[in-house]
Amino acid sequence: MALGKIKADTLEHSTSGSVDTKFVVEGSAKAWASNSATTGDTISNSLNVSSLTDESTTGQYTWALTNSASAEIDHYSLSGMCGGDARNLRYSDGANTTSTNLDIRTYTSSSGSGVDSKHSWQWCGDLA
Amino acid sequence: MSEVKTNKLTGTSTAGSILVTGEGNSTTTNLQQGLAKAWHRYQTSTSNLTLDSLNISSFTDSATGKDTHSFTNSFGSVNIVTSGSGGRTLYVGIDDGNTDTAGGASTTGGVPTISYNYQGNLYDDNQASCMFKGDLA
Repeated sequence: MALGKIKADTLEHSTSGSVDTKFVVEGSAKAWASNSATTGDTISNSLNVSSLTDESTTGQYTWALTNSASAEIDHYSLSGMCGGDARNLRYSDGANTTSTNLDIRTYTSSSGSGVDSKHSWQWCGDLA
Repeated sequence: MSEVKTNKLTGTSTAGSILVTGEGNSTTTNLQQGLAKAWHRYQTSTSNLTLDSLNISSFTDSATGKDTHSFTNSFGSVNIVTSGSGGRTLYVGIDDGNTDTAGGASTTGGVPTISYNYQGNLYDDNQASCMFKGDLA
């Protein structure tokens, strides 16, 4: 065992049960973030995110990861929510989504039309 | 098969920071930051009820479709990353105090959310859930 490194398959608590460490590795969110305003590139809080680009198209944002996914990001799980009434977010599976870049679209739920919105998201998947 | 039995994991260099090697073996992710610090499964349709939770002390149904989730252990900043979903055709969003929601802003001790149906109308949900990420205080 190297200094400061534990290799184990199971973690066990005295009263709260045990967990296979594969769930620690595979079940942890590998990235999450939120923007601080409806428009602009300012990130208010994040994990494993290097930048945000508010694209010129309404409701389109590109988030870049610091450490890439092992495949295109939209092969894995994304969840999130928007600020303001009746808005949602989704992946775009177009060319802008890669193993490093996450193309998020925010839209009005009733019409499906793009709308600029504050939003927050978390991503679970495999790192490269 | 190796097993670690402990009630507490603490980093050696920084107590609140432990790295976990990623699936591809080429990078690491932060254990503490990757964990959900709070989650809440709740309903407000017929009564206000917490069905299951982590680190939730209470919640308030202030108006139709408007709820505030209060934490037992507060976050370190108000920039709490939130995700969630609603039951049936409902959605959950952040009540961030925009003029169109007239709601409150997040604090380190709680986050307001809104629930609405596909038409965009605020709605009390029967099976909503939220998850909260960020650094604890």
